[in-house]
Amino acid sequence: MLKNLLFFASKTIKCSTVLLAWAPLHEIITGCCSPTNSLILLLKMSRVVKNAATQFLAVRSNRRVFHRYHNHTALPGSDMIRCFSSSGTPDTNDGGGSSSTTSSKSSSARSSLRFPWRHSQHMLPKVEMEAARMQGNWRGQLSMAIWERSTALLVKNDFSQVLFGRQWRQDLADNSAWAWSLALASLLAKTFKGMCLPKKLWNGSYFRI
Amino acid sequence: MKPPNFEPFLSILHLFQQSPVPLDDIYSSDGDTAEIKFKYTTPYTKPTKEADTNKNDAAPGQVEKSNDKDSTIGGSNNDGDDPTSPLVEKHLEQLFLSFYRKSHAVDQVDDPQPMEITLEMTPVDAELHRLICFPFLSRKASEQDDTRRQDYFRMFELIREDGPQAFFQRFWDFADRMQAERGVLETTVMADVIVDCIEVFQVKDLTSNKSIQGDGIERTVRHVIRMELDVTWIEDESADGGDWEIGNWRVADIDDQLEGKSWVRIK
Repeated sequence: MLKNLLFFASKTIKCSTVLLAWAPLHEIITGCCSPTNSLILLLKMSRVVKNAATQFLAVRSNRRVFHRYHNHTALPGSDMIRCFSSSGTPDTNDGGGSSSTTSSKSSSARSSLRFPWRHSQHMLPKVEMEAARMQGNWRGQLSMAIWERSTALLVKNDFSQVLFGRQWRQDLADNSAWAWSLALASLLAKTFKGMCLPKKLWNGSYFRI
Repeated sequence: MKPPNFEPFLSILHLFQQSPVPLDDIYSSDGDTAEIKFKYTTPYTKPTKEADTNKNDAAPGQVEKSNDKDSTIGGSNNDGDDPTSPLVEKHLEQLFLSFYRKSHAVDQVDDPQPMEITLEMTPVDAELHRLICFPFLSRKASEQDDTRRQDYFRMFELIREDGPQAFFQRFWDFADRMQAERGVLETTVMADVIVDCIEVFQVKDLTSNKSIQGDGIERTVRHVIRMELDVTWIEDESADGGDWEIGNWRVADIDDQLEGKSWVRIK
């Protein structure tokens, strides 16, 4: 009996923690968030993704308790809503477009044959447009920042570094660039059958990045 | 130090080790910087009828190497159904494969277009542009059943109409559904990274000797790469109910090349 009570109490506390964490985001979206609350808000939001899953599994058998708090829970910001779109249609066919099978089609296909590569000094227009849209939109920026940090914690970055530092962002970017160059080399090698390996890769110096 | 989930990128080492081709053809690194040097010429000869009918046997390609010891590397694996690389999403892989097939006239009865591709690239700087996640939705789940993806994003579109209570009701119902249908809870993480590279790029039509893409001049260019990672919730009563198990990072897109074909479109 005591064990059951303790279990129930712990689940209730956990559930409340999550709901408290979600609640301030609603304040951000509705514009009621004061600057002094921002730090507290970030602290609370930091573990929300992990806790959401924990609590989902923990409280789904006791949903009535959870739903009592729904009016106080947060919604993703308008920018997050805009961010998510169902209009993307996955295409499991040829990634480069449909292939031509007739001679006439092949002629036109050849004239439009394009190596899938962008070589430009300018930023991708989509990214520029996004930056312009977010400029001056502090609520959108804050909402995205919170989402970003929650995601960073989800992939097990250090709690304090995510909240108070930016090095994790640079590390992730550097590692991604490193991984991308290796992936691209392997992609070109695989597609065009030019399996190659730098000598430096053998002696381990490559892995220091 | 790299996080452990980048380890799969090292797993391709064994592929390289098995390669009979001399090293240093495409990729090199001095520990701090990496460099890609790729030069490829499509075949000049018209493929035989056998080659046309047997689309799995590609015409051989020739890689020009810096040490002037040309070697022909034929029998490219281009059946399109090949198990995907752990490093690159299959749609991106198919995009390059599609170019290969077209440039070698694998799917055509016409002459292949002789061309020369030059790509030399050295990443010099990187910046994280965006890091987001899609709780309880993964690429795998979405590709398995497209209604999952549609329902998921529809939830977000309905927030304003239905209010928070209905949203969360749907959200947890969706999580329930995923748990029931797939047996696991998965979340996909996406990172968009801007990478500055010093790059030389040119695709030249060898018939007319004119440039089709690029100009072969070295310049600093900006690429936007999208990395993806799946995390899976593992239930464990002894560890606070469970924890997220981190999957493997993979390259999902480069410079929005898959726009419209991506499993999720981020506006």
